[in-house]
Amino acid sequence: MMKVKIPKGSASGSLAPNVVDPPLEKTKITHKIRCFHSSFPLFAWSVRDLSRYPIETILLFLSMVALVAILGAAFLLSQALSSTAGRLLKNSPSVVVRRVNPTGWSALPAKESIRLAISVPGVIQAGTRIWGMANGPGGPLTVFGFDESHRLSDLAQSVPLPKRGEAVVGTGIATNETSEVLKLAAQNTLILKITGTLDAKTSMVAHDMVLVHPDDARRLFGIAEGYASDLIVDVFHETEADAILPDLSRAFPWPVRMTTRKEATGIYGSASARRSGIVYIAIIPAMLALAFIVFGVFKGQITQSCNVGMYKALGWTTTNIFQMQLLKALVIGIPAVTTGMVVSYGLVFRPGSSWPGYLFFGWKNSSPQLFLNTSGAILTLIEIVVLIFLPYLAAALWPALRAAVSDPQDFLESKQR
Amino acid sequence: MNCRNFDTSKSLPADRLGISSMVGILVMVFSILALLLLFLDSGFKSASDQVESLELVRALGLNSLSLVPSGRPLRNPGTNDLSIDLRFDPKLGQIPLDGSDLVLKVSD
Repeated sequence: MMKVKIPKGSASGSLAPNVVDPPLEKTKITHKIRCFHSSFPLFAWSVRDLSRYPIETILLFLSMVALVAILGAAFLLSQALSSTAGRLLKNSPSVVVRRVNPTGWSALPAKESIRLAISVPGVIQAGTRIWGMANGPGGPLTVFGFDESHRLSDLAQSVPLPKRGEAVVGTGIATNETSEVLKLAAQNTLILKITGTLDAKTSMVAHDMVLVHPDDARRLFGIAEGYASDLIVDVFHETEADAILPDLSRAFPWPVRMTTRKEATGIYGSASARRSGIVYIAIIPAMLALAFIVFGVFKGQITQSCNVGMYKALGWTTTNIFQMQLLKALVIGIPAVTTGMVVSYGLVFRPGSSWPGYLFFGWKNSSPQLFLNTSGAILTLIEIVVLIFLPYLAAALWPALRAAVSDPQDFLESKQR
Repeated sequence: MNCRNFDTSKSLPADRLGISSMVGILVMVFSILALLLLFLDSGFKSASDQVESLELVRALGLNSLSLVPSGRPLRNPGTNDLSIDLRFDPKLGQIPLDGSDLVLKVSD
């Protein structure tokens, strides 16, 4: 004879006689909880039913947390890098003009270039930059020199200005080098004294950057006096940048290559999306696997026990059984998705996080610390929740739906066999 | 307090319905609180962490981020110009290229 353990809570009766009256406050809390599960009895039944399968419940919870966290981190990182690049480069020059010749980039005459750029209608400001790549102690570094443009005053407020023979370095170089001297090699070799370090919060723009005096930069890159690496141009409105490119190109007597702010920002957006796309490829089979696991767990819980048959035999309706299964799925799913969202949000938006540099951007020794924008993060997270939660619910409810409409005798007989 | 006199409210301690209900409520409250914190953090997080970077971008006229190490194409967007014919790159002169190797030879 099969023994079926009938839940005692379903039978009417009084409290056990040895229960001592609790203090008043505790009584109030207990009363509220009782009120809650009196109003929503299926909720308590669902949680209790889950606790009968602790290993399956915990594993399902953890696998869902992992899936949401990984997918969320990939989505958020892509979106946040794109938005942060847009915000940081909002103050960048509208157009960067470089002189080209058959051998590559070449220096352009500073004053003449500025005069020619200013003559183009729509250009409100023009300046030159002296910069390039030099070989440093740990590999290639970006070396920037100051020119006589108006932008110097902005920088002087937050960064110590290097004099001749001095260098101010980014945090990536400062952490690599314990020495106070920096040796740089390009066209010529320079030995500079490190006099300052840029703030760690500038890591996203100047992690492996060296700021030097313009004369030192010219000497390092072999740029003659009066010449510059490239020209920066500002226009009144960003949309004008594309429109003036043909005029700007015609204004110079030598061939030039121009990069607009929009192009530069777009390149970072697409690059981060491409890198995160690698994660998406892995996510599709992972989501399928989760759906199969969910289906298997819930189907197993239903068919391996005679609960459904017993409940129906006791008078539960199909709706009751379906609601309980839905609540079970939600009791696991909502905390799992929330935890996954919190984990992914923390991974991406924790100030100074540096793991994306190692994982996606090829840094080896010291990766730049990221300080990313959170705008749009919630929308992205909602998309992920929908993407994962709907298949999860479908996988969880399908076996319940099938079981709820079946004959209870089948379950009871299958248990007997 | 209005509270329906449902059977489960009088459940015995061995039923664990009371503790199940409490665990369920705590889990849900935790989830709602975590979501609220997430909303608040994303909504009110200031952009003060980027002030120094914005100053540096403006001061130096930067149009690139240091997301990737120096020397890679993504570090300076637009510097790798496809219109420049690299056959004229002086560095290529060091590579011993022989054009005859590229011609297809048909055997007799």
